[in-house]
Amino acid sequence: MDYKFQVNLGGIIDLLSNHIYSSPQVFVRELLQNAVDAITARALADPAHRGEVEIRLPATPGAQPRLVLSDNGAGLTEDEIHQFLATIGQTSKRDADGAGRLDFIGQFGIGLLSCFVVSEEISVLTRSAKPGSRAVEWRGRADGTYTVRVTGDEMEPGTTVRLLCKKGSEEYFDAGEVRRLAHHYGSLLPYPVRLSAGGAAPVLVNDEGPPWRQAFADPSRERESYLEYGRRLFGMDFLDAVPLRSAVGDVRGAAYVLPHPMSLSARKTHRVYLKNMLLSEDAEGLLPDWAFFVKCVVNANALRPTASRESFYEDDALASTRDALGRTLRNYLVELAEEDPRRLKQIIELHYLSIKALAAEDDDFFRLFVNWLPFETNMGTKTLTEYRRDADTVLFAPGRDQFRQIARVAASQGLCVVNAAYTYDVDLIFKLREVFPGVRLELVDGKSLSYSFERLTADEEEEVSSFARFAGRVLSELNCAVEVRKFTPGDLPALYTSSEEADFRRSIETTKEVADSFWSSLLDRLGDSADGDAEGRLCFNYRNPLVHKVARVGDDTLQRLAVQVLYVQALMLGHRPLSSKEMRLLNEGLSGLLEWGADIVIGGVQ
Amino acid sequence: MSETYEPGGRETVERLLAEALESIKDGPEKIAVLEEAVRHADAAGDLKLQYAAREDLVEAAYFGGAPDKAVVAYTWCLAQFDRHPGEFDEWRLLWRYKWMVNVIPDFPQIPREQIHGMIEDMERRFRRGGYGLRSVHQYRYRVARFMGERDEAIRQYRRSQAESPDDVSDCQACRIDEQSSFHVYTGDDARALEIAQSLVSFRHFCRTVPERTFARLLLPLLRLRRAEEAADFHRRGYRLSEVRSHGSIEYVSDHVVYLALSGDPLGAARMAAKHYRWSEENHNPHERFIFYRAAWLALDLLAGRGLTEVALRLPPTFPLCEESCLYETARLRDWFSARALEIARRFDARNGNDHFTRELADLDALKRSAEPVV
Repeated sequence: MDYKFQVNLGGIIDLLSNHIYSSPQVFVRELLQNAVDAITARALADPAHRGEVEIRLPATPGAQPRLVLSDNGAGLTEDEIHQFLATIGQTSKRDADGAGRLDFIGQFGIGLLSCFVVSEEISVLTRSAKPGSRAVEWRGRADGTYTVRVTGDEMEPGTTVRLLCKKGSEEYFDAGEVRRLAHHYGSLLPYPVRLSAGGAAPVLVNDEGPPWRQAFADPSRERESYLEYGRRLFGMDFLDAVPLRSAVGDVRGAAYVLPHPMSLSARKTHRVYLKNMLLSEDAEGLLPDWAFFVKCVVNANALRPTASRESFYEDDALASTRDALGRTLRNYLVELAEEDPRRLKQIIELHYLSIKALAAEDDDFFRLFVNWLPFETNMGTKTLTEYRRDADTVLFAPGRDQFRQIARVAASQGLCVVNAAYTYDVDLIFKLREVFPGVRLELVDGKSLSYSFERLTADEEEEVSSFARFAGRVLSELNCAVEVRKFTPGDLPALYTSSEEADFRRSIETTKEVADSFWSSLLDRLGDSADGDAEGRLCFNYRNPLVHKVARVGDDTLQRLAVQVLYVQALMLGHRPLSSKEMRLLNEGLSGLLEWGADIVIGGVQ
Repeated sequence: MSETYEPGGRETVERLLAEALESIKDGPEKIAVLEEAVRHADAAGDLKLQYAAREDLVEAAYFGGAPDKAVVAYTWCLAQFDRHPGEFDEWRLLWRYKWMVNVIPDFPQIPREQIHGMIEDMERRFRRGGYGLRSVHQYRYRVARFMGERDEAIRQYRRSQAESPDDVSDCQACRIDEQSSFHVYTGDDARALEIAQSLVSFRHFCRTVPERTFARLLLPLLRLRRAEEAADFHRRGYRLSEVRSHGSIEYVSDHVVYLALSGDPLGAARMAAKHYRWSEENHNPHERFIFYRAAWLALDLLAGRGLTEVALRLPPTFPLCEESCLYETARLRDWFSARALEIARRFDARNGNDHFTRELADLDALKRSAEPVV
């Protein structure tokens, strides 16, 4: 008897192929998933049942290719076939809140429907494992018509699906491609999946069981086996492998230590299987955020997928699983510190950021690892042990610019300063104080550093006071204060430092040079709030011979030109951009000095 | 690190831009790298490079908690766009204009006329570019809502909804989120939740949705006594915010409020302490206000339970920092309430009403709505 779909099948197929499934290849996943569900259903009734899946690509010379997939699962009764077809009419998507797959029968229909993306015609020959069931055949075509008939054939319980390739989809029926896809989705299935093409003998698709299903007598064999598995899976030689296991979520798998550094913002994705079928190659949220030095492959039997089936649903089970896996990785690092410090050192060199992230949130781990972690200082990279060997107080500069401004001068004062601009470094430095009472911390910036410079004697002060006042007047319109102190290195005439607020004001000034009046006044208002130190400061070095000379020059013009040039030079040494005003100052200063010098020479010649 | 002056140079700028975009989360570190790129580009005097570096800076600063820096860099781009017709992409500029009008009311030092002037300028530019005015009305709605002008807000919202979306309108996820948020505003919590269904199931999502959606629907769920869903939204939403950065302080604050009101004020206070540094490094006075207010609520509830002392880890940059990590609850509460009040008064002075200080006074009502502890 003929039936007609109550829905527009063509429309549904279009919907599936263009919206729900990311690519036509998923038909292999869906067929395999149907077989797996059927085998699971049968194993529920008969725990001793051993599942088997067979895929055949018969030779079809001169005709469209076919694909045949058989399983020895629960099969369907005639009633169930009608039921799954009814389901297709009711819903074309998985349940919206991701609570899992529909019941086995409804899901079967949805999975089958995806095959129409690449098939002209589909037939399903099935016999239910329920006692007294007869073999039934369903035949559906892409135009939406289908037939159901009881064949009365003798067959073992199970299901055989036959696909007739649609014109233009031949590439998906290629034996190599089908084998690749079957392996891709089903390589972890705990029963044989075989493939035969063109009448050749069947080959096992999922020949390698994952290492966590094997028992190892020898730990080094175990490690080798894990690494080999990772190499095959991800095409990478990893530094190490860590077996993973969590009772919550019923998770087994492996974490592989990446052989290259990972950036903080890169997506941390893992290959995850749900009940041994591939769920996603780029699942997130499986590990704690700090653990971005590894790439994982895991199978979970008791986690919930998201509605899109791209990842796991964020619930308590996932949170507990994440904690358990995080603990495993943490313990791995702790054990490594005792058992294989060389390897740990190698890992830290590549992945200190990840390990710092953990240390920042875990006090005990911090205590154990703080002396391993590298920090950038103005005297090279140091661990905090090395640092504290030479100094009681940890000096740190809080930002990239602050560090750069003072690095050189601080070093020549013999001060070792940590660059705490990097993510986690400030947290770790603050934590030092919490975890090791008695450790002193001191923030160093341009201002505090210049306070530490040696003051001038009263006589010296007297000597330069008129110069300092003069320079202050020259630079006041540039929002810059002036000081004279003694510091090393002596060849440095002046040090320019500024705060974040001063930099912000500078950026406003630069922008106002191009902005119209509306925006300029808006920026002025915006800058109003700068509550910190909104001035830059230029600290002249009394020890510098040039500064000495300039300070004593009686000529206002020459002194002004020199101050301008020294100011701009100090800006450039601090990697500051020059505003057009400052560029003008530099040009004016240089040409003024040249002219002045030339006049002397010419005057001298004359 | 080089000791000598390195003149800008295209390569240096490009290296810095790549470093910022590929390897660092939104936040001060990324902003500092991009500011350096801008400096080098300026030194090189290469207009296109200066513009490109500032475009990235606008984005990083906007999402990384330094909207003041975003406004300055944007102003520069806008001025150059006008000076060099046809040289730079108009769509990108106009898209970012929405960010500017979104943050500018958050600065109490900006007078009302300048805020409205900015939206008028935006309207002129959208018209000139041939774009619809949906976003223009949308931001008039947001500004009115921000300033406590309810009737005007509702009127502008309706106007924005009447316009069809186009290339410069928010993405679908944001549009749905805006609708949901509007229903919270008008008191229809249940409808707001219904509308947000496709967001919290991740059918639609973007850079800030559903992170924002989860956070904003926590109170509606508590008001509706749907505790289990609230716990679910809290768990899923906080997870999204926790891994982000300074720009998420507003959403973290919502989670602090949620914890405080759902019977865990200690957890709330700890969460606030954990993210305190974000508030310090965040330049947005409104977001700081929201954070201070949340911390205040948590500590006030703690004090109300008779807990006179609380152990919290606050960084040494915190003005009342105790090395012992032990704080007098009432003193800590008063510190946060003073900060919140100070900002609220500045907003009210600018807005010409008492919307913000009233909102703070409403904390009492909020506390009364808290679930009794079981």
